[in-house]
Amino acid sequence: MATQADKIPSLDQGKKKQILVVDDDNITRLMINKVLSKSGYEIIEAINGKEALNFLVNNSPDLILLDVMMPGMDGYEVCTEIRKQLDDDSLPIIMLTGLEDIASIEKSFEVGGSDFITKPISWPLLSQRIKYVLRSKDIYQQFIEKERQLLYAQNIAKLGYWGIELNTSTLTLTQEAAKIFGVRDDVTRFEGLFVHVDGTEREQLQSQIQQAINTRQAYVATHKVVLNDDERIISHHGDVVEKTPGEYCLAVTIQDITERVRNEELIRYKTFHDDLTELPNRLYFNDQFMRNIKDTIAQEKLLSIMFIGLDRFKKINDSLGHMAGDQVLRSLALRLSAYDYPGLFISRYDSDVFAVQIPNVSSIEDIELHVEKFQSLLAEPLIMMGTELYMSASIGISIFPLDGEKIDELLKHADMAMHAASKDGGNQYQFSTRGEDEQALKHLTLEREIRKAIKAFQFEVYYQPQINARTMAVVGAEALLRWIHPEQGFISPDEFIPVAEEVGLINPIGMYVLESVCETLAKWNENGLGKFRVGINLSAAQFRDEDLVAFVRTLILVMNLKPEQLELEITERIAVSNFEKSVAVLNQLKEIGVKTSMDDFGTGYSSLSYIQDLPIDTLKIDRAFVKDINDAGDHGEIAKAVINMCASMGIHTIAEGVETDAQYQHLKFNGVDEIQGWYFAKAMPVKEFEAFVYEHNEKYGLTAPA
Amino acid sequence: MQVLDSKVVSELREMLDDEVDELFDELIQIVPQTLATMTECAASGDLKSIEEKAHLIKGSASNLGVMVFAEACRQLEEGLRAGDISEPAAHLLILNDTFAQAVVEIKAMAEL
Repeated sequence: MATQADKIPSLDQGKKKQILVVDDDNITRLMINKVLSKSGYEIIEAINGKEALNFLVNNSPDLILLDVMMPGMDGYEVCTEIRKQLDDDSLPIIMLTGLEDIASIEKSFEVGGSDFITKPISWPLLSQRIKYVLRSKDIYQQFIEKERQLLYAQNIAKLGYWGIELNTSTLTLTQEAAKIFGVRDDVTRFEGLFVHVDGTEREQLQSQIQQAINTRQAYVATHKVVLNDDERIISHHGDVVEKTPGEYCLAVTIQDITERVRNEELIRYKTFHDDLTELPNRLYFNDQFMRNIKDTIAQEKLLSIMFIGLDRFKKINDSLGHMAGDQVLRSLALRLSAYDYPGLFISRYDSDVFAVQIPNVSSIEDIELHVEKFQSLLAEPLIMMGTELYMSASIGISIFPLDGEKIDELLKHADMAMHAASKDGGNQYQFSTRGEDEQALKHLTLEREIRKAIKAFQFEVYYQPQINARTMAVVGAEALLRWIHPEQGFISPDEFIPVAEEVGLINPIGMYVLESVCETLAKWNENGLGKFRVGINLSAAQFRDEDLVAFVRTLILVMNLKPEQLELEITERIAVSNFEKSVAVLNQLKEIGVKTSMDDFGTGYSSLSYIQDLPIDTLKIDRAFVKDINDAGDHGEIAKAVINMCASMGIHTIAEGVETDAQYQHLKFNGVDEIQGWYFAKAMPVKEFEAFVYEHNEKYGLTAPA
Repeated sequence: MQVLDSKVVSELREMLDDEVDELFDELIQIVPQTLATMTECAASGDLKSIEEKAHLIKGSASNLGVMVFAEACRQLEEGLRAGDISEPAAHLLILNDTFAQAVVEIKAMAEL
């Protein structure tokens, strides 16, 4: 019985191997078929050479068993013909010959037979014999395939091989190796490989290889080969191996690593340079500082760091476009880098900021000379799109070791000095002075925090209820911005609003509040909490923003609000700072149906005539006047006067900061329209405000305002 | 020399089991026909065909271990090729006899 192992005839498992049996002897063919089928082969029978050749036209069996003695075309002729027709030399052809016939065995090999089996056939050996012939064919094919793959891989990797038999000094090298070295592949001495290697490198390489041979140790080398003006970089990995006992061979793998090295260089360059200006970047600047600082310390001198911030660069980007902005930066970078001074190092540090370090300076006066040089370089007009463009810079300077010993400190001080120079109108330079640090630092930190807070949604709008003094109904609320800082907790608007105003961040914050309030109002309209009116404080910048009215109108439309649900509050100070403009804006707001109110009335300019001429709907009575009302008998005469005056002009009044029952009763008695203050409720988040409304309505038996 | 090489037969039986009998049946069917054809060729003097047929049945028989008959075939084939035999009639009788002998043993074996 055939065993299981016999049925797996070759390394290539899976598909059955196909064997073509060519014999005119029917019984022998039948026997071979039966025996080999049992071993798992697929058998194709041919009764003569002609049939066999026909079959081979369209088929590729894995092996052929070919009888020698056949009438007509004998086995030798068939074999010769098959070898002639097929380009596959690896196809095994086993000749079936007579045992007694040594001559026929020799002839079998002559005509291209791979092996022979004598008749009568030894049946138990037949399938074994075939198994091994097929296996060696597979191994041969795998070897050929591997060699092909290796060659291909070597070709792609620009990998070559060369070696020396140390006993015979025979040099071998692959074609790829010859190509890499730019030599013919019949070189006989290893020195002959390096004719295109530069003199000193060649000597060094040869002695290195000679030493590897002498000491029988590995070597690694990298060198250049210059071929047709093209410089290539070649790496060697050589080792001495013992091929057979006592027979040593130096085997070297070489590779053309030019592309890799160039890519690495490019990556290194890109890592340390700014794409736009090709100037060193921040990373390189910091790196260079470490080198310069050592030198400066050694020479006991000063090192100056300068931040050169371009004035009004944003305007160029906005008005001429980013392409023009980029062109300006490139031109200026080119100009600045033309200034040559030993050790001077210029980088592009930020979008419109160049940072310079000058080591080994002796005095402040020295530094000033350099700064003035930069200023004059920048002052030359740039020709952009046919027009002259005049640039200036705000330059901040810090000095090692006066302003700090670490790069971070020095950078921070230069940055602050630059901002100070810019704030003072630009086109000037300022030295860092430590005394101003603390305030400036706090300011700077706050500015960064505000930017972060906007992005991180740390701002939240709180609502302080406003209650009808007579009906007790909640008619609206004042929206108050709260900043809940993740580490510092609650930050007062009084602290951050002025900074936000100063650094131009108030608009995004203001927009956020407007949007947030409108969203909340829309939600309340929909969920039936009530059609409330919400007062929103406008900053001076917001109030002067040309787009304010359009923005508000769009919000109202999009959120489907009634315009009178919004009440925009401005302070007296804002209103009077450009009175005519204020009147115009307030009228525009009135036209779209939005309510307006004046906050902090009576705290500043206190001119009643202003009130008369300003088209406002509501006046808010400042807490300062409400505070005057107390149990001690002070009856808040100013509040009373203001309420009366407003009543006569048809202006709605809201008292702020009402904290006690006495205050409430007094204001109500004097005819104030609405009350806002802790007496009823503090400012609170949306959810709490909603809960407050439900509770309050229930308490006073009220329904939501329609 | 055995009429039927028991080693070959047992090896074949081990590999092919009962299918061996089919092979012998095939032999018993083909050889008498071939011998008849060879006799006809002898009458018409076609020695070349006799030589080829002798080679053919020699191969079949030897591969199945039918040794004495195969040896008789070989002698006829080689005698003809060498030109030592010009009258194959007597040899054909030997082939008939030795094959009949083999058939007896084959049948005896099949009945075991």
